[in-house]
Amino acid sequence: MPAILNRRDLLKAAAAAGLFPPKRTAGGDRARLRDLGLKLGNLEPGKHGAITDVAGVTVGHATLLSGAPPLVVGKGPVRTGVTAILPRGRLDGAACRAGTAVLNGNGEMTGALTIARTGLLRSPVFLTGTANVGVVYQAAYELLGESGKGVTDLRPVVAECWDALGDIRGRHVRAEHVREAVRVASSGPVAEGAVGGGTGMTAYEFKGGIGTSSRVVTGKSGAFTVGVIANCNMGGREQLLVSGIPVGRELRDYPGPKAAPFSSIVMVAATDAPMEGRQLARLALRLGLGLGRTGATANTSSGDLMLAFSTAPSDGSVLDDERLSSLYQAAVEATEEAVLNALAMAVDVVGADGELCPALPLDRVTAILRRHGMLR
Amino acid sequence: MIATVTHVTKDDPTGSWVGTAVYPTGVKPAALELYTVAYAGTGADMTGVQVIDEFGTMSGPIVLVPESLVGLAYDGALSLAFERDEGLAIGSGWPPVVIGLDVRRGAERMVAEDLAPLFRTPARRMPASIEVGTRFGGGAIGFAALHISDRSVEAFAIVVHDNVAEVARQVGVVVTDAQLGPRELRRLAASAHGALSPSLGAFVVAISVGDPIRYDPAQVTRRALDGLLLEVERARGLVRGASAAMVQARRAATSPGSPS
Repeated sequence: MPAILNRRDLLKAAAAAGLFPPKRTAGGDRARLRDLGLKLGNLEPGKHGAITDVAGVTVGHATLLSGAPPLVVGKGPVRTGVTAILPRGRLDGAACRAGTAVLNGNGEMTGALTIARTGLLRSPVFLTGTANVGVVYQAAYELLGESGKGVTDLRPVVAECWDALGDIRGRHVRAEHVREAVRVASSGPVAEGAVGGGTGMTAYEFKGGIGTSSRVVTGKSGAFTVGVIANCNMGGREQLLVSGIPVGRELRDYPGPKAAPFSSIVMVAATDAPMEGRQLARLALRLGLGLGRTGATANTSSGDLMLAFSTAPSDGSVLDDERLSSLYQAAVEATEEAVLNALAMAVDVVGADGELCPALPLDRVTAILRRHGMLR
Repeated sequence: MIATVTHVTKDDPTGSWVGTAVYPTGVKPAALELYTVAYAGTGADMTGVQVIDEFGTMSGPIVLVPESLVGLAYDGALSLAFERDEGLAIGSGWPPVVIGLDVRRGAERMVAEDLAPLFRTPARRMPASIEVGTRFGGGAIGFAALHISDRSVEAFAIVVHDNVAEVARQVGVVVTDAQLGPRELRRLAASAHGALSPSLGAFVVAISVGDPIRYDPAQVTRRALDGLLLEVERARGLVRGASAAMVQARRAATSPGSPS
């Protein structure tokens, strides 16, 4: 390899060679911004800084990532998958209280009318690509039917974003991938970036995908955890803010994908606080404020959809509204960090058009943050 | 006639109901089209809700299936949308609007092929008033279509009775060529919902095939809207027709010697 290649040339060369996935991304080794020393917000995260910090919640990914351009519909390249979030770590149709909210409704989240009617969620939440919604819904319905016999209102919740990096029309997700995502779902750390339903997503014209975080709120009657997971496929480069710093503007010159930006984001919050459906819908709405902290403005082409659920036992106790504000704060901070974790942990992915969708260059981001006094 | 309806039952001795597709302006797989829509009632769940709530518009068919087939129907409708536009542009039929009726699943499983006629064959134009009675796995279904006024309103009601769960579900679709917006359509849907039997769990979708771009609320005269609302209110005959068809189907399903 010639010694005088600059980064842009390297990226182009990697794309041309169809190098995939790279062992070491052109954006450097991957790390969460918190691990690089950046603390976002005022509250502390839970043990794993993930939605799984809410006891009982499990997350599993089925990642379909193979093949190189050119695009051949039905063959690839395949850049898609499914992420399953199991509120109680199981599939028996047991209810969680839940609520939904919409920032811009150019998207799909199935089962929303049932949640609105009952205030309950009996299904895992599945994140996937636009073209897979029907397949994932059908597979989920059959899975739920097997393990939740006799339970009514078993409406699978499947939410989509347009995973433009791969062969969308090929609809590569199958029922077996839905079962795999459910089977491998676990508590503890959650893989982020180009995984599961986030495999083919682009955010702020960098590689996007799955990100997660959490916050712990302590009060007189004990501690509550709020965890957030997001599938990030939204925003234009110049919108990107990190801890309030216009990092995207400073990365204007950095190569980006050709695919049109400003698609969608799906955000899911879990909490162990005993909240009911209306309160959870209000909490869900606040996830949009966390997204806003990273710069996105809910474009008209965007499906910015939110859902929040509570794992607290349904014993009739409901959180006093007076305590909601601290949980809102937790949800906003966790969402901001979840979105940035998706960018920080994603690796370079070559899109179906042969263009590289680059990972966020963490060396440049940390340099910018240092210059602005946000990092030591 | 404005809309077309494709009504599919399984082509075997069980004759199970597979689904019903209402194409508000007929089947035009090559054309992009957009209409205005609103809904009322809680008797069913529906996909495509976020777009309908945000923009007050939809495209493609309204597909009614048993809850157990919603995913398959969604995928079928998505194929149709991809045929119209590979980027699923506005008006292509994305997001699919699929209404799942809360009935126990039939004894036999359906596959995508069973649903294909909903999206493949040109929809048959239904006569002004028709009743279809059929039975499915654990119950019976009645379907009625009504042409309410001269070229302005068509309504379809489907009543599903689940013998096992002893519940009935009613879904109505109202299509009009009057130039209405989401606000007026919500009133129209609520009016039609009142004509159904909400205690049994009803759900109504109301659609205007007028051009959503040309809609101007100032142009909707109160008199015209009130007239439409009254006509839809008179659609009680529709439910009676659907119910009668359902009773007929139940009788056939439970009579000795009928295929099981």
